Amino acid sequence: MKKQNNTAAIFLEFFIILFIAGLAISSFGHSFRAVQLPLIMCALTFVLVSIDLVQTFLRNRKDESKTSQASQARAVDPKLLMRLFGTVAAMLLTIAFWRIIGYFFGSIVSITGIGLFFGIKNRLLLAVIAVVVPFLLYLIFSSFLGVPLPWGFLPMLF
Amino acid sequence: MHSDLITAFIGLIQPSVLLWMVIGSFVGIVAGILPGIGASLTMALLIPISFSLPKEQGLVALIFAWSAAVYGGSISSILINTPGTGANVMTCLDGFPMARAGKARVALAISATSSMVGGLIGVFFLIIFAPPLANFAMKFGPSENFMLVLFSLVIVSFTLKGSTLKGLISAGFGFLLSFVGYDILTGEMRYTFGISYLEDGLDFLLFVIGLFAIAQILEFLSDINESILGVNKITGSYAEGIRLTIRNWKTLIKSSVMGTVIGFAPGIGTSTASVVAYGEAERSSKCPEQFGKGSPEGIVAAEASNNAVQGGALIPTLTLGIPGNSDSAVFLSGLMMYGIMPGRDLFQSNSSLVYFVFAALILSQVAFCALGLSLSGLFSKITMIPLKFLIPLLWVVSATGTYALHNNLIDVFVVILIGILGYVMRKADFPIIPLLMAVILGPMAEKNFMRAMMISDGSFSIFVNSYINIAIILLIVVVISLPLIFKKKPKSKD
Repeated sequence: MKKQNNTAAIFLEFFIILFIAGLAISSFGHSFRAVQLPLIMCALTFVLVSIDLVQTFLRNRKDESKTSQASQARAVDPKLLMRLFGTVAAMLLTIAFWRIIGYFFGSIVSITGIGLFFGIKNRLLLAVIAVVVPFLLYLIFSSFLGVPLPWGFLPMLF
Repeated sequence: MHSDLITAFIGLIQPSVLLWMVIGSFVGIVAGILPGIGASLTMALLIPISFSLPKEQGLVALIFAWSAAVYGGSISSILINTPGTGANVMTCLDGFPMARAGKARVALAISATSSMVGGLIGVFFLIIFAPPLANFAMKFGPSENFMLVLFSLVIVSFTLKGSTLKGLISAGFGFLLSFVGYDILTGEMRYTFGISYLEDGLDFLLFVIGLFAIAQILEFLSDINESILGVNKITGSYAEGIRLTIRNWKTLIKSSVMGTVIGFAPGIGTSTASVVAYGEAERSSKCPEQFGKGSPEGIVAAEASNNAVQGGALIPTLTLGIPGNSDSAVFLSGLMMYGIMPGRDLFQSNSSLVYFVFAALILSQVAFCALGLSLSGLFSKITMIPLKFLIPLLWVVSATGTYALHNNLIDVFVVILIGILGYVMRKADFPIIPLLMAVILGPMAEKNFMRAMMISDGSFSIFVNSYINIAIILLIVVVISLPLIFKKKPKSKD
């Protein structure tokens, strides 16, 4: 688990360094006043990330020497990985559904899809929830709060 | 003053006004629970409705919705680790572990009662000390406001469990993210990398929803056959929650006073107050090791302070016409809609209406507390829903709340990316609260930094030449050095 944490930390810290580099490079061409505090914060954050990165590398090396190969192989759960990718994909698909078939039907498809992906056996309950929740949300957001929830391309067909 | 207040209370006891109290409180609680809605948006949406009502009913609807929305945000913080607003972030730290331990009802009761007491103390300060405190608020210039933001970020990085270095990196990264978009003072477009969506910057509510709701959904995936409840059944009653709140009366009063005082620093109060109060509560606690693991004292500190901000923020709003935060800015527009102009002579020129507002503020605290306590049993059942059912529902509610921010589907996409970032941060043991705080306070910090630099003609000496700044710097030094000098030892075995 510790090794997993260290890998995630190294990945994140490299991402932050890349972001800092991007910010620092794109600071050129702007007035000094507009980028003064951002540049100070870039420098400070870079120093802090570098210190932590060195610490993480050292910790990682220490952990590696302690951990056997067999336990390393068990560190990543393939089922969890599949669930993670599947859920994120379903989230992204929800946006597409809202755009294409509208908020109400898109949400029904999304809830049903994620529920089935998780292996919900009580299909009737899932169907009821998949219809009632979007309906209630539609009432709150569209009718009361006046939010123009996406209609998708459906109205164009009629 | 007393007679004015009593007359105002009598004015509130009318069936039509009472009806709008209930409607306002209910709408506020629901809006507070829904991620991304919050008090400002609720009031903004209620203003057109309240304008069509008689003055008393309209004001009551706005005030009750405001108070209840601030409290409502704590319900989702406790039950699903997702703060309804930025003000409830610190409540997650102890509220969610309590809910997992089967004590959701107790945590909700602690939140309701401490919010009520915090709110009442804030209003008490507003009534008694408004004019002198407003004069003190005037002493907070750009450099003082900037230092206050730094102070709250240092506090949050040092208070949270885990590595302080990672907390500071998280805050620094949050600051950098807040710089994306138009520069507030020069109007220059920075760090957008050619993406037009980034021109207006990233709304902090996207981070609230992404870092908490979406990251929590991804976190839940490791145990989809379980429920939030980590134990067999829900235990404890709301009476236990009230008892625990009373037992922590010192923290309750101290946090409420801190919330009120910080609340009148324009624009900074709401998020800063709960961080500072939580940090102080942990520092002075007999059981600091319990903080972050389900400490009732942590919930008391966070909730009392964020509700006390309401009274504090109204002090400069009513006496100077400077809103203490976005909520009071929307409320101010509601007051002006009824012809109430804020200023030093408001208490003389329109005293009956001002006392009506005070009386409504007092009653609104009691109303949301009663509603919150009576619904705590029902709300706590959410923790028993199997995660395989809860996850798709949480996702659709979060996505709808996100879309409602700007009616933009790209926001939903961005919130997923922020959620993945939050998930990776959790896995890498990086605290997410400093990042969120920095994103919220970043634009305020930069605006005040630039103003201070303009005033001082580019000299950094402005940050050390006022007694408020020196006091803040000393406090920062104390916060940083104390843990290094005295290693924390639990004072009690409890």
